[in-house]
Amino acid sequence: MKWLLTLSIAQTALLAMLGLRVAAIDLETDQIARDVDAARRIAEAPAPQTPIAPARESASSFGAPLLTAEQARAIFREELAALDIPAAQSATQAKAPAPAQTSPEETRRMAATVAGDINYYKGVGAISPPEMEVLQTKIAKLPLDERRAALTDLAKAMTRGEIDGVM
Amino acid sequence: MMTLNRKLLAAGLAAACASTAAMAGMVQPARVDVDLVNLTAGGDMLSARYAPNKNEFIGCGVRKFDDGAGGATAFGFCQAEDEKGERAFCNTDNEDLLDAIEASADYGYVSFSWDEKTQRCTRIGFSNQSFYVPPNVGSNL
Repeated sequence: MKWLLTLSIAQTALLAMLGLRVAAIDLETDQIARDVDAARRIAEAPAPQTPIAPARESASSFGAPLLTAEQARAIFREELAALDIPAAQSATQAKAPAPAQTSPEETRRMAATVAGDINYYKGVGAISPPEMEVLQTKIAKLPLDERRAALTDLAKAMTRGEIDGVM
Repeated sequence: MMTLNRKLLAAGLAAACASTAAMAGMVQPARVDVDLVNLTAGGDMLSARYAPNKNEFIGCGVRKFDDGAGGATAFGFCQAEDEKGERAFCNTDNEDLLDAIEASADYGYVSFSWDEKTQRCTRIGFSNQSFYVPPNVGSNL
């Protein structure tokens, strides 16, 4: 019950922080839109006798089309939405990591490595406990069919006494 | 007189110890036996551990590995060797057999069977009985 209460308070606090942040972004967006409007008005005005602010001068010197406040808001909303999507994606990925994908070629390579290891230990005639742990870890990474085949080979070799050791 | 008393005391202590041993309950050691004809192995862990040779052992185990997708790859195995040096190894990924292995207890009797072609375990048995428990565990009587 205490946990639920604590979680509820934490959630409320986080929602409040999120709301404040959204409000702040909205204000910034409005301010930038006003600045863009002002820049457009200045650009459309007859050539001034007074010096123009460097930032505005450089903006007009590239010949970029000037935006209305509404267009600027739309662009900012799109940018913010684009920022939100990767965040949502990363949250989902954290909850459910993508399953390990192994290509057939990689599977064959891994199975061949394990088979080679088992043959190596047959040649040596023994396997130590740490070596067995490493081998079992490699076997565990194989897909089910290949894993079963490798464990069959290993158990047969040990039952026959070709590899001395324990699992 | 003093010597006689000491002898009586020693005899009394010996009798007490002997009666304690005699009242320790049923004991049924089962040495490890690997049958490569019928593909079975069995024996109790305590008898294997204190067998008068360097060969005998028996037991089962489970290995689990994080599969990187929120689950685990698991497989289990049973293994045994008897005093003649005959060995048996089997493996399994059957969840019920893995559960059986994980439910095993110390000192119990272990038995298993396997398929010769695949070397997969076809049966895993555990028997936890008082007569497999070592005498030095301590009495509650």
